[in-house]
Amino acid sequence: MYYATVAITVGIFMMLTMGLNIITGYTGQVSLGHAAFFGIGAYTSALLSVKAGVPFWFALPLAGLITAAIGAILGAISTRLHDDSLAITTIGINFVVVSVFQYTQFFGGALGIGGIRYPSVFGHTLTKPEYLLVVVLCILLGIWFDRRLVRSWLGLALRAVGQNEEAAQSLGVPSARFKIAAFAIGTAYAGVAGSLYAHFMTFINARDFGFPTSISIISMAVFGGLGTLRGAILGSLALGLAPEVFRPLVNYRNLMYGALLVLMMRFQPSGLIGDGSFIWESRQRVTLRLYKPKAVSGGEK
Amino acid sequence: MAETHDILVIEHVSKQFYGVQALRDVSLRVGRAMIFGIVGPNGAGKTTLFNIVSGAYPPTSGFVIFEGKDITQLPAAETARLGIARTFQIVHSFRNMTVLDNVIVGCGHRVYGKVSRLASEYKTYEIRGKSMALLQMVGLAEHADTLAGKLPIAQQRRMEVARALALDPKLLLLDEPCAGLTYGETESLMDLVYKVRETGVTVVMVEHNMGVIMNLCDEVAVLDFGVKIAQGSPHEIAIDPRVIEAYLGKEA
Repeated sequence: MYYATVAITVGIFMMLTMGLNIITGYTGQVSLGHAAFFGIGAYTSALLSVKAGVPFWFALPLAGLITAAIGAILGAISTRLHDDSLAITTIGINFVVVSVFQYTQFFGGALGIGGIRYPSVFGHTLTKPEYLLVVVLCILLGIWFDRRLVRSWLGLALRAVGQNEEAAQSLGVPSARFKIAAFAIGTAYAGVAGSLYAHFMTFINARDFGFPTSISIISMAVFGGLGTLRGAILGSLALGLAPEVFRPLVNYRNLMYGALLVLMMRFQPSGLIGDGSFIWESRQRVTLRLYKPKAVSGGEK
Repeated sequence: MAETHDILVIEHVSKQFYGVQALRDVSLRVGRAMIFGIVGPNGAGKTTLFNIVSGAYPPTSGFVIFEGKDITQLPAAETARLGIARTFQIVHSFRNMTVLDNVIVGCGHRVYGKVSRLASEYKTYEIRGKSMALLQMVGLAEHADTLAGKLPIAQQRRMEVARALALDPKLLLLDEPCAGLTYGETESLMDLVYKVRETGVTVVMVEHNMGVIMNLCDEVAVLDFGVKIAQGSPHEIAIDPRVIEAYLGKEA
């Protein structure tokens, strides 16, 4: 049961990191308030479940869609801001969202929302390992969507905007619309993650979605390698599991994330296995060496 | 308004950045399928003029007419779709994309406005073929799979030309294409500009290298402190006293 709990938590953070990777990694829009959308998804799903009696299976996709809609609106703000002013604004958004949850009676105020129902199928309440399966399915769906995105015109345009907005515009990419699309897609991942979190914890509180959570998510993306799906997966796995594996670290989690961010920025800005990182470059050199003789004997060129 | 044989008409364009008057009442006409040069000392407003034509920002006053259509207020993405392509003075490559993908971004100008097509795969047989042909033309075919950021500057400049041509442009704006290139690289870039014009594309280029201007351009306009001080054939320009004064200063 303990392992299932850890795996579910790591899985939820993996969803969050994959979403942030689309906004910040591919499209280059630095968001330091991703946890706000995690919270919006969780509260949406919780309210649908507690107040409207909507079953989990409908609340989950609805949380994704509603969060995406709010993400698109807040993303529209980003089209007028760049770099550091955008980063600071997203921090602000995070604090505003948390405050709204904390001080509005409708959202349960300081007490949060309890009594969220654990999902069930035909009267059978899911066990933890079964819930883990749901999380894994969501992740697989997220990975599949990401791979399709990267191969599509939409994904190409997002990466173009992220790497050089002026050049992208000069080639016919209306960058504002594509940034909004990136926020909508990335926050949809966060909305789904929020729903998974709410129904797993059955009790949520605004503090779960504060700025420190945003920093954890961006640390995972940066640690693994911003701008690559493999980086998002590895980063969330490594930083999610580390405090569990090295138990004494739990209390120093934020210290560890902060120190890692500083070290990565100094020594490996492309992350552990991002494009241009030491590990990834070496791997490619090794593959090249392994395949080169074959290419020569085949007379290719 | 505009005569049909002029592809680009700039009328009384002025641009002010806070206190700085970057352009003052500049008017120009560029004929179809010519190579038109814009020269002038640093800070003369050449790049500002390019930015206004390509839609990076609008002028404070005046009009830009492209193929008889008023494009003064259109943003860059719109002018690109109408057929105005550009390169940049400082290379603007998508560094972590392959050279091929850089060019393909330009091939998508008809797709970006259509939501229904955005989800489809971009690397189709047809698109890849078109992009490879463009890379062949600029001599970068063997670097198609290299990350753009790893190419030397001279090759990134060529890639920018290929990428701009992927828009199927009618007008190509080259902002100092020879800056930082060696003699040999400059020669081959000049050949490339000729090749582009042969395909019927009008070229407007900002350039400091007078050799390039004299050899390549059909017509030249000279800017100094935001004002057009002369226009004519390269040979007329070279002996114009106002131009000599702008570059070398007044005789004592």
